[in-house]
Amino acid sequence: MHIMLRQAAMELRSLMLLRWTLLLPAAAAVWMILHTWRLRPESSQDVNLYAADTHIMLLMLTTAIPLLLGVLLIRRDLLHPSAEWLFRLPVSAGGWMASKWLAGFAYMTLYTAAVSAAYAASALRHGVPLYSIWRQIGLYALMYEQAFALSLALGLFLGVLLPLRFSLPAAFCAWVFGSLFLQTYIRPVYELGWLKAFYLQPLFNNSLIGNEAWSFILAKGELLRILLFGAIFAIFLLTAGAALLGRSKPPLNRRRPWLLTLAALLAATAAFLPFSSLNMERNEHRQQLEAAAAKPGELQEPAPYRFQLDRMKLQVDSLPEQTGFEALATLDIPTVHGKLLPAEGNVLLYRKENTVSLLLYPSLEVRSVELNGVPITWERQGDRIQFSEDLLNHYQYTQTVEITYNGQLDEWLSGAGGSESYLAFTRKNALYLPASLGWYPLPGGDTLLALGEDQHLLDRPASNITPNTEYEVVLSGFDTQLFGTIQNEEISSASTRFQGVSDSGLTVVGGRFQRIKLPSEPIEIVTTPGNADEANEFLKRFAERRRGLETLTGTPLNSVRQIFFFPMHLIGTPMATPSITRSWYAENDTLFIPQTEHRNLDSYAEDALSTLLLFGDTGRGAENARKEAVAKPSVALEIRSAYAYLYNKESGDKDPYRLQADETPEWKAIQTLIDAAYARGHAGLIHEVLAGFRKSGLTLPEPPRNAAGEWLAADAVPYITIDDFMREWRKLMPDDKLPAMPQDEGG
Amino acid sequence: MLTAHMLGKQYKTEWALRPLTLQLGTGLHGLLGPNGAGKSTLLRLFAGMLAPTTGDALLRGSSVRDFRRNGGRIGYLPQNMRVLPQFTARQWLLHAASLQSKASLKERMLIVDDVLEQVNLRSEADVPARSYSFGMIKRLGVAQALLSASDLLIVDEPTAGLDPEERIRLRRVLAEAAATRVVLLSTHVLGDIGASCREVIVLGRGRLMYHGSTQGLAGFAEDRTWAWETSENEWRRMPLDGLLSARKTDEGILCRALSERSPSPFAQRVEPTMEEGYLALMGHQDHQEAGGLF
Repeated sequence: MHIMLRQAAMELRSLMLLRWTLLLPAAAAVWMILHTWRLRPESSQDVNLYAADTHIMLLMLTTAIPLLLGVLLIRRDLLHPSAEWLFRLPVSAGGWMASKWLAGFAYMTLYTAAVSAAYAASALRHGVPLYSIWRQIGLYALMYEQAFALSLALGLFLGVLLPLRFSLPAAFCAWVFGSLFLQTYIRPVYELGWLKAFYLQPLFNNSLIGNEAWSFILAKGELLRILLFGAIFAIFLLTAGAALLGRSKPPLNRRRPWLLTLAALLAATAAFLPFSSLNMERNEHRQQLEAAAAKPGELQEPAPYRFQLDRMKLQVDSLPEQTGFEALATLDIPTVHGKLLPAEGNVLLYRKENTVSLLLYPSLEVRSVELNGVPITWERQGDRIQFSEDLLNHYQYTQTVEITYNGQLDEWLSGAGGSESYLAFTRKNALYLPASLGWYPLPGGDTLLALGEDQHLLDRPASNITPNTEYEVVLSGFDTQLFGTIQNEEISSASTRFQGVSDSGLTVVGGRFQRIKLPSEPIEIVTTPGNADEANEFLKRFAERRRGLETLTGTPLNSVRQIFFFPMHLIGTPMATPSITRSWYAENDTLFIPQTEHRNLDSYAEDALSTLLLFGDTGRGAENARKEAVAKPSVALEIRSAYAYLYNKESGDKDPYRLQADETPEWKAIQTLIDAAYARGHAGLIHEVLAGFRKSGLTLPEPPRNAAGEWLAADAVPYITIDDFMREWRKLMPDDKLPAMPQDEGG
Repeated sequence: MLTAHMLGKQYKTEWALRPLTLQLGTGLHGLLGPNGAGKSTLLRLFAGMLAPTTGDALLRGSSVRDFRRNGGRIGYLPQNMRVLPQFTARQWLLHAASLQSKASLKERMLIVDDVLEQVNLRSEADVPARSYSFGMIKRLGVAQALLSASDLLIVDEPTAGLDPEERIRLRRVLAEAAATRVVLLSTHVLGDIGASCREVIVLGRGRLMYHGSTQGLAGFAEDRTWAWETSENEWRRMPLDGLLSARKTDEGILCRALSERSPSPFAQRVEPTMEEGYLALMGHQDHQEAGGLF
């Protein structure tokens, strides 16, 4: 062993003495610094987000180095007979390969160290806490080292296999194939998940990367399995290389190296099994989900199938296993004469005649169902729990249904393009339980899952609607702080209670998040440590805006309690829900801002939050809402714009509140009216007119969703004509007349 | 003791070295043969860098390819040698020494200094090899081979490219090494062998032609080596077959030739040299293969 180590030290020294080899790790570090040191003020200030992107590019480029280095280290000794004397040194063929691998690996570790140091410097500059920096470094260093170890072994193998000049182009092709082609073409097109084990660059096209709080926890299981396989496969490549090296350094026993190679191959095959079985489990699980999902053409609008739910009490206990939990759900369902009441509209439709249907995620196993304290006969069909409506007590208004169930949620999905995400997951130290997924029984609806036209699974974000339902949910046994879309309190170190009324159920997230709050601002932000500074700044800015808006409206604006702000591309249906992953949305008292480099806590987020506080929607798609050409178009957006206009006028905010309709003739007319009234000192009257409209409702109706429940752009606004507006205006300022409106260029 | 038993190497159907059996004891052994005779093949087989087709070479009873036992006992210097240009001679030799023994760094440095002195490379020991001349690289090669060879030292054309002074120095170094080791010296310079070797091995067209003392090799030209003095005009008319040398003297030209019959009425049989014995042996082989009589 000491001989091999000394030989490795010599090989490493030979690399170091080349001098230029030391410049390359430094160049990688400079690259990281360039992309993370100074962030554009208008973009996200989360250095971890930029670091994640930079790691992807850096690792893709640097993977070429160990491949070519491996070839060169071997070619140097094999290509010319004048170097064959080296093989007379007292180092065995295996030791020869191992020493070159060790030296190359030690050299490549300089890249990991340099990039990590550069990241750490940037992160410290941006105020990222040390524990967060260490976690990030640990995750990426593992990925780098894995990639380098395998690439180097492959390079050495190719160098021995093809000692002539052809080995260099072969290594280049291996790099292109293993770092780009597998990830971008072969795996996504042919949906061969097991190919991930052969990636030389595991970060590229990896949609699970980039969320500081969740990425490692979610990727860990797969990563460790791939790591095990990668390590043994690298040993196989090295033993095969050593056996081939026998051509130049013949062993005493010719069969022995090949037997060792065979053993290493068998070991690599065995090491592949854990990852392969994980893949198979996922595929089987996906097939089960697909069986429970609504097929294209079978989808129904869920609203007519929903029935009223007064109260939901839920106790969820995490089980000792990492992903399991058991739960007891108690539902108080109002009935009249033993009949369910529709949740929306006047008519309740039945998926199965005379049957009460509750939706529960298909992976969760129901143990018992009791109705009014009595066990009843029930059946499970996919995501439905069903029992006969005749069992309901005809003389009782409230029917109490108790359901005990258990299971584990580790709902990994792969979508078109090879992207991956989790519909839901529960781990001891991280969880994501979206209300729409049915992690607790939902009162009717259509289905929880749907198959898209391309046969990929979709969730149905509208499934969670439960108008005016009172929730009391206790989650126990999780080793992390939990945050939900209903007010919560920690009742012990291991239990959190969520209690309140919600129209859209309860979504819970947990993990390495921070709650950012300021004394001057009631809204809190739940975010990753890398965003703490930006979140603080946002809250400071928004406190100013809040004051201005509350002055404007004369009422406290408290409909939003918190903002969830972190990368969300790894939750939900993979790449199929841009409305979730690429745009903000509100759920109950929580605004979700899916973070990207360009979707951050900037002035647009301020506007969205302002709009949510003022009007009850985030203004999503408002610009497309008034597309129909009608004789008297609605001026609802113009009235909303008037709020922004007034705010800007009165506060002089350097980041003005953007107007949603600032080009229409109606707006020009209203603006003229406002300016004139303002000049007359009638600001109070303007506020009063606007308050009247706001009170009667300026909220954009919930945007329509497609059959799978995905939001589409808003296509309707409350119908208020300019005549309606003038009528209200004149009640307070009777002398004003509607100014002449210029011709709308858009018709 | 180095032994070869039926040691042979065949590439496809062509024998590079037909099976041969040899025993070499401590001392300097010369290896002679024309180009393509199989010398390098034999050296590489002895160095354990080529797997034999038949038989095996054993050093102290174990195969030369047994790296566990013989890894640190054999030193090898090929005809052409390349070193990593970024290393100095001292760095490289210290590494070679570290692979050979578990001696402390201080001890290794003393050993390396001694070897550097032996090959006259001490003054350039700390200069990167990229600035070395061909001869210096050769000397570095000899030094590393000496460090590696506790039992067997194999050197292929070590004196090629060296100036006369270095050549003599190297002969002395090899002679010193041969006091405790088996040293196998392959060269085309017969003078190097004549000056230092006790035994010589001659290969021809992949066969072992001779293995024995240098005097024994000279014996192949016994009774067939002629010397005479002749005038310049007569020398010009002479056939050159078998002529070994012609040196001008004050009286005319002194000629030496290898021939069955007297090449001149004035020629007299003389004591053959090793080189003449070698030529006679090679000529005998050519003649036999041509189907003629020598």
